[in-house]
Amino acid sequence: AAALLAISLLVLWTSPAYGHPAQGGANDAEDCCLSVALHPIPGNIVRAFRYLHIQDGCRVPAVVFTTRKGRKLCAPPDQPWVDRIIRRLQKKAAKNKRHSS
Amino acid sequence: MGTEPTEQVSWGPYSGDDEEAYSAEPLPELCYKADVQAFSRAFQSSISLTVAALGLAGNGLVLATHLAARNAARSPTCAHLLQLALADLLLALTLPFAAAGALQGWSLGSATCRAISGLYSASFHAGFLFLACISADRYLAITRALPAGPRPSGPGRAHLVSVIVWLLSLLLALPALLFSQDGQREGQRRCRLIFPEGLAQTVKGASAVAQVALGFALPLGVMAACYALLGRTLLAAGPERRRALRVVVALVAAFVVLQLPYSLALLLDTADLLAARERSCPASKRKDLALLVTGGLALARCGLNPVLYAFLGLRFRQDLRRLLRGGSCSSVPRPRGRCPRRPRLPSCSAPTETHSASYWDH
Repeated sequence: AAALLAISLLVLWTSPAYGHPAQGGANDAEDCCLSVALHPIPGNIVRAFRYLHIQDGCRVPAVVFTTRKGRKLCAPPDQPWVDRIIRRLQKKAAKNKRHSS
Repeated sequence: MGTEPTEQVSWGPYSGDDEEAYSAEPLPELCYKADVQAFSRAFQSSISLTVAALGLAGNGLVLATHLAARNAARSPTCAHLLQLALADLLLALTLPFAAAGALQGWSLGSATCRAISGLYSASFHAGFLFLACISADRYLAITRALPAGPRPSGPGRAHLVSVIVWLLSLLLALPALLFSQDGQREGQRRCRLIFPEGLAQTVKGASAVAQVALGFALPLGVMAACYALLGRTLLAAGPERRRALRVVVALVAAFVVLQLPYSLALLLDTADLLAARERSCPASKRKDLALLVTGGLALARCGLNPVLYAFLGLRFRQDLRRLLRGGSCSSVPRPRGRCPRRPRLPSCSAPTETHSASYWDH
């Protein structure tokens, strides 16, 4: 038991990394992605995007794509196909801005 | 962010009902929890305020009675009951902040957020660990009261144990102390625990195991073992110990009903995290609700501790009456038929020690 205690303490010291949200007070149920798409989503059904980071209280970091039908699809933030869609959306947004101004 | 939803006209092969046509499996969607969040705000704020009022009054009374009787820490149980009341009082002090934060967002800055979260976490763990200490003290007290029992140990050891418990609680509160921050989300600032990104999963896992082992399994194991042994000893000791046995059963039942569901929910949630298990949105919402409700019960335990652990004690009630009457003890029947000039018996004697405390208190 003493050895277990020592190991646990050591682990805690070297890595103050985990804690449950409830430990720090409020346990807020955030709107989050529970998983992300494994296969590429076609870019032309997407009209908007936003990031959901760990900092937003989510366990799974994700890019949320809003489709033309209004669905919010979850995509992995570290995939090249996701970057491509984001770049295209940003380019389109910049073009729209130039148009309107 | 994104473009305006200007074009509703469908174009290309993926439109309308065909959005999902290219994919065999359903696409993962954002899980909205507005209903859970609304319930959480109402539930957390009302529970927090109720427990804060109960906890401040009850534990304040326990501490005042101990201090007025000037017999703090005469026995190990006494010292640990005092520390339990202190931990619960500190916890109760943080709850109004939590309630305000749940209702209208966090407005006190990151430093206060860290301090309040750390205090909450440390006092919550300390309370759990002191419950385990008290169960051990009671078992030892009962065995020592028996003719063949070992010699009692002095209060020095109890103080040492208290210091260790507080250090351990601080250690368990380190994540909350270090990583709590007030972050903005959907227009509201909130104080919560956010871990830095980029930590290895194995490191997180090892640390989670440590949290569960020290913050949950250790106190639970000690309590289970001690109350089981205590129950066996009391059963063997004969019918005059029935009252003490009933009190033990009440304490264990209260603990099982109030604390265990939350500990188990946390354990399951930790297992989810470690296994990186995916849940469906409804299942995830059910889990959030379970954590919320069981967390409320566990908080209620902190408010009820004074009732369960102090007010059930005969001598505590006598000392309390004396405190409220301004120091006279005339009408109170003393267990040994006299009114001591200086209180000689600890006001915190546990109910299980009703007949045995005087054996080992001198």
